[in-house]
Amino acid sequence: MLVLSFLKGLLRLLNDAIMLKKRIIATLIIREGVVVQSIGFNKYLPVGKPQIAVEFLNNWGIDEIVLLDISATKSNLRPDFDLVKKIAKKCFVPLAVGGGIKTVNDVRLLTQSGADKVVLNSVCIQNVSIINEIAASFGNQCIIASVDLKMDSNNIIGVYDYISKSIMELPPIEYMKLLEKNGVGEILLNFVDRDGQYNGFDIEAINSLKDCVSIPIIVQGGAKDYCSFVDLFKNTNIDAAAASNFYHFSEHSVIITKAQLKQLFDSIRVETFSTYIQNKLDTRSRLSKKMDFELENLLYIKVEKEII
Amino acid sequence: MKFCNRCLYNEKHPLNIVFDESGVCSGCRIHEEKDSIDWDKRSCILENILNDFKNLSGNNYDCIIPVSGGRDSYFIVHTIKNVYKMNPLLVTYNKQYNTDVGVRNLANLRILFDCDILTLTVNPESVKKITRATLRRFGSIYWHCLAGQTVFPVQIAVKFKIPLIIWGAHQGIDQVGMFSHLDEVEMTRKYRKEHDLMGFEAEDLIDSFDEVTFDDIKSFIYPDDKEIEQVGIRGIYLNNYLRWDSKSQHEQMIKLYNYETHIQNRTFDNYNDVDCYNYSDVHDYIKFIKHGYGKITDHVSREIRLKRLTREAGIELINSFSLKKLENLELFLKWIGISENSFYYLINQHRNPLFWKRNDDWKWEYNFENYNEIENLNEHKLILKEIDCLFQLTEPKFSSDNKNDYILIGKGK
Repeated sequence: MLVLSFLKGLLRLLNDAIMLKKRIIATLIIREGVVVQSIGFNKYLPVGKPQIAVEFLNNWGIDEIVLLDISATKSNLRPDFDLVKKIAKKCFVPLAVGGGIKTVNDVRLLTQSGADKVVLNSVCIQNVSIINEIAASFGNQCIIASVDLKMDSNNIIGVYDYISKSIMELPPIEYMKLLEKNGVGEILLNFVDRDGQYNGFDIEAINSLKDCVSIPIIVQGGAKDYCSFVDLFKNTNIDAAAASNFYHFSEHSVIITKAQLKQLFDSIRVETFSTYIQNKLDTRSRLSKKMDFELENLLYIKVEKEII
Repeated sequence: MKFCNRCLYNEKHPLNIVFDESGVCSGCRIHEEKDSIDWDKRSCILENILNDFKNLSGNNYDCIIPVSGGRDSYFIVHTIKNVYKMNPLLVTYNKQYNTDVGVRNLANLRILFDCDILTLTVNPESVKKITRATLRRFGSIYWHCLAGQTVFPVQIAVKFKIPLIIWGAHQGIDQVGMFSHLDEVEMTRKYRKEHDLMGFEAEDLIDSFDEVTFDDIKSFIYPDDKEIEQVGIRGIYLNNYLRWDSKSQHEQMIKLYNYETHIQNRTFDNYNDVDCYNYSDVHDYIKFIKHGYGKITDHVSREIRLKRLTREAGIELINSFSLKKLENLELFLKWIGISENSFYYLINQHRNPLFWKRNDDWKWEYNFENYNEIENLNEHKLILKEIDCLFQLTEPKFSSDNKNDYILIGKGK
C-alpha cells in the first residue's frame, strides 16, 4: 500500500514537472520614462513610475514582466539602461526588456543591467539577421520577437510596423517562420486593434497563427479581466498570455485573476501568501462581499502574516 | 516647457501627464468623458455595488467613509447615507493643522448626518518627528496627513471587518487623466505609495539621524495583504459613478447643510481645504517651490475644464496667487519647533531648478514661463457654460468654546 501511494505521489510530481505552467505575464508600456496605459496604439494615459509598477506586480505574484519602451526607437534613443538597473533590483521574476535595441552590444548592456530576455520589434523588420548574431552570444531563449498585428482595409491580418504606421507585405505566418528560422526563442503577438479595447483576445486569429511555428507564443491585446484568459486557455493551446492596462485598476489584480483561473486550470501558479481562493467576484469581476457570518467569524481569527 | 493647449498644466506634473498630437493633455481628454458618459447608467452600477455590500445581519456598518472638516466630506456622506441609504462608519485622521472652521464642519457633519465617527489622533511628538524627517528628506509637511488619511480607513476596515471604503474623487483621474472613468479604478496600495506617500512607506522613515523609531511610525503601517484578502476590502471612488463637480457639490452642501466656507490664502477655491491651516498656505508654497506650480493651477485647470473659466482669466488668477506671501508659517514653525531660517534652508534643498533661478542679488526668483501662445489655441478652447466662477463665503459661525455645551472634538491646550 505504502509503495503504491508513494509511486502515485511520485507520478503526480513527475506530471507536474512535465506539464508546462500557463504563464500570466504583465506588459508595462513605457513612454518617456513613465508607465502608460496604451489605447489603440495612439492614445496614452500616464500611470506612474516603472519601478513602483514592477515592485507591486512582483508582490502580486505575476509570472513574468515585459517592459516595452515605445518611445525609444521613435525618438532614436537607446534603451534606458539605468532604469532597467533600478527595476531589476525590485524584480524577482523573469524580466524581458524591449524598445530601442539596435545592436548586439545593446543586448549585452541590457543583460548586464538585469534583463533576462530582450524584446525585438523594429530591428527585426529592418534586419532580421541580427537575431542570429544575438542568439550566437546569448542563446535563443534570450530573444522574444514582438510582432504587432493589425487588420488591413480588407480585414486581413497583417504585420504592423509601428514606426512607419504601415502594414508589411509579408504575411504574418511567413514573418513568424522567418523569425523562428533566424533563432528567436519566443514570439509575442500583439493585437493592435484590441489594444486597450477590453474585448478579449482574438481567439480566431490566434488559432490561425499559433501552429506555424514550434516556439512558444505569448499573446497580448484585449484582456479585460480573468474571463479573457479563461476564454483564451479554453479555446487555444496557447500557454502564455500578457495583459497590461487592467492590472493597474484594482488592488491585488494579478492575484485575483490567478485565483479565478486556478479553479479552472491546474497549470496556473498561485504562490502568493494571500491567494483570494475563497473570495467571490461580482459580474464586473471585482470583489464581492463575503457573507456576514464569514466576516463576523473573522473577528475571532488571528490572521498570521507572511514570514520570510 | 510644454503647456497643455487647453488647461494650464505643464509637462512636469508630479502625477505625470501625456500630451496628444494636438497638444491637449490626458487630464483634459479624460475630463471630456464627463460630458459624454451616460451618468444614469453609471449610478446604477454604483447602486449595485452598494446593495451588494449592505450588511444584512444588523451587527455591522455597511461601509467606511473617510471624512475631514473640508473637501467633499459632506457631499460623500450625503450621497451615501441620504441618497443611497447606507449605514456608514465615518473615520477621520486628525491632521493636527486644524482650523476652527474645520473642527466645526466636522462636528456638524457628525451631528447633521447622525453617524458614528472614529478619530485617529497620533501623539503630536511622533507626528512632529516624522514631519521634521519628511521635510528634510523630501520636502513635505503633508506626508503624515496623506499617510494617515489613506491608512486609517483601511486599518479600521480590517479591524471591524467592513469590506467597503468609499472615497470621493480619484486625484489621478481628475488632474491628469491617469485612468478613464470607465476603468472603475479602485484603491490600491500601489497608488498610495507612489503618489500619496511620494514613494515612502512608513517603514522607510525609520532613521537614526531623524530619531524616527518604529514606535513613531507604527500608526501609519498598512495592513498586511493577507488581512486585506481575508476581509475582501475594496475601496471605490465616487467620481467613477457620479459626474464630479466639486464647486457645485459644495454649493449644494452649503444650501442643504450650511457647510461653512472660508477664504483661502493661495487660491480662489474657498470650499475644499477650509479645515487646514497649511494646505492652501505653507504646504502649497512648498509645492510651488518643488514643482513650479501651486494649488491655484490645479483649481484653475479644473474650472477651465468645467467650462467656468477661460484660459486667459486662469493665467491672470495664477499670476495673482502664485507669489502670495505665507500667512501661517509662524504657527507651523512654533508647532514643529524650528526657526524660519532652518525652514527655508530645508525647502531650498528641494527647490526645482527648472522653475527657480538666483538673481543678481543671489535671491531666488521664479523663472516665469510663457504659456504656449500658439496659433491653434482657439481650436481647443471650450465654450463657457457659466459666466462667472465665484466661490461663496458663508457667514462665520461661532466657536463652540463660547457656549456651555460639552465639546465633542476639542483643541486641547
